[in-house]
Amino acid sequence: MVHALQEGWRVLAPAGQLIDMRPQSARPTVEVVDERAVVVAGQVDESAGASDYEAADRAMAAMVAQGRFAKQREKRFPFSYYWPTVEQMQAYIEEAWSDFAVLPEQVVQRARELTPGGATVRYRVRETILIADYRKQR
Amino acid sequence: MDPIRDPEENEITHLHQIGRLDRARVLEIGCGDGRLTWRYASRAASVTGLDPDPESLAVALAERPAALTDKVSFLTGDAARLPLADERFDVVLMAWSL
Repeated sequence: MVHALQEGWRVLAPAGQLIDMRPQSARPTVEVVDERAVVVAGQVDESAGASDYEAADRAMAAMVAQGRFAKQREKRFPFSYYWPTVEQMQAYIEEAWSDFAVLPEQVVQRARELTPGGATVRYRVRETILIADYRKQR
Repeated sequence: MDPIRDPEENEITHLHQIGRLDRARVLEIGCGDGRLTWRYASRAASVTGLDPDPESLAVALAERPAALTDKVSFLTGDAARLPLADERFDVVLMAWSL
């Protein structure tokens, strides 16, 4: 990660901008959504990827400590994924996120129990994204 | 089934708030299939998308809008060894890639 940041620094023009945008939470929420309410069914377990989040934080902090970048500001915002059925959500997470995430069976069951009657229900995973603005130094 | 991602458009809204993208020369590290690239590229002077996965870049190339052909290009490569000259970009965007 530090090498990628060093390369980013190298190709940036003087006073150029580095934007670091990435997930922050290791436990995004699983929610049942319809037109009236959003109900939390549980959390995706992304603890297997927690060390990656921490390593990214350390790499960025190292670049700041070296005087390569100066942080200008940062914000956090929600980012959501929506599926029309619990089964499609479960299948996608098991296939596409298998390297870093587990959807606990009890959360799947809870989402099913929380499903109201009606055609407009959707299932979403909602995570927190960090976006940070750095300015190239020296 | 692929999910619908961020229909609230929080990602692009915050990118535009933070990013100095207007008429900028942008390097997007970890561009993948260009999902985010297409949403800001029209404002930039140029965009170079870099990703280690050639299959994702093939999708990006196939889906590149005709209006962005001259503006957006892609490179297969490792972010730790960029095949690019010094001080070439105004903005480096590491979107979900650090």
